[in-house]
Amino acid sequence: MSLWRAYGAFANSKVGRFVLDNDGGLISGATAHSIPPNLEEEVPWSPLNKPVRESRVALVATTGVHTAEQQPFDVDAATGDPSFRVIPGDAELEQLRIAHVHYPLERARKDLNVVFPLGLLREAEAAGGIGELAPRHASFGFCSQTKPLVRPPDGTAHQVATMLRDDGVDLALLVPG
Amino acid sequence: MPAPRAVLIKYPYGAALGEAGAVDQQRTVLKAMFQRGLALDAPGQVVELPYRWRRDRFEPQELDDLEPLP
Repeated sequence: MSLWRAYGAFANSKVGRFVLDNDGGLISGATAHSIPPNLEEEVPWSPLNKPVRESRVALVATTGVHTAEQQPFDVDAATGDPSFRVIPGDAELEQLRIAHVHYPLERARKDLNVVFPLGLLREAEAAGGIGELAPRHASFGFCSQTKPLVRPPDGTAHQVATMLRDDGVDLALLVPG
Repeated sequence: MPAPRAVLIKYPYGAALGEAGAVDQQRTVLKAMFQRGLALDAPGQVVELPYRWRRDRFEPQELDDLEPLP
């Protein structure tokens, strides 16, 4: 059993779920602050130049979501899987799957919105809170290496950014897994 | 590379928007992501949401106003 599968088995066990649910946000908070941002590096910044209610919004997540027809992420790869899956904006939520072993999956399997809020964004579109949903959204799995993601020009994060730009996306919501 | 804007919530992994089926909670968190995240006015800033896992009660929310808070 790979290390990641072993961690996934723990995270999805009764004990693991209890520990991760009751750490008081310690683990998620610690990992959020574990790598201080290098503000010497230029931070990409684009001011929102139109109201949210007029904006085209896309969802990008690292929660391992894929369609039933797509190949699942490789959860056994030693350094993770840098690939991404394009999730159509009109995808049937019940047909989406998850390939990820780094977080407890029970909640996400009952309600995908908790890790991939496409359904909530559809509600926001219907309510007029956002202008419209983008035609394509992106999902990554777990990857511990950043180079395959950010290496220009073919890094997978660059590919997603290009896709969002080509689709005229004004605002991307990123949800971590 | 830091994110342009980040919203931090101390919820367990696998529950970034809240509990399964908890519509009021999920809408509250989503709304806060837009309203507070877009209110950040300089690159690399992070705002922490005040919600505590399984401690808060959430009022029904509409998703008709997601504009940045002043």
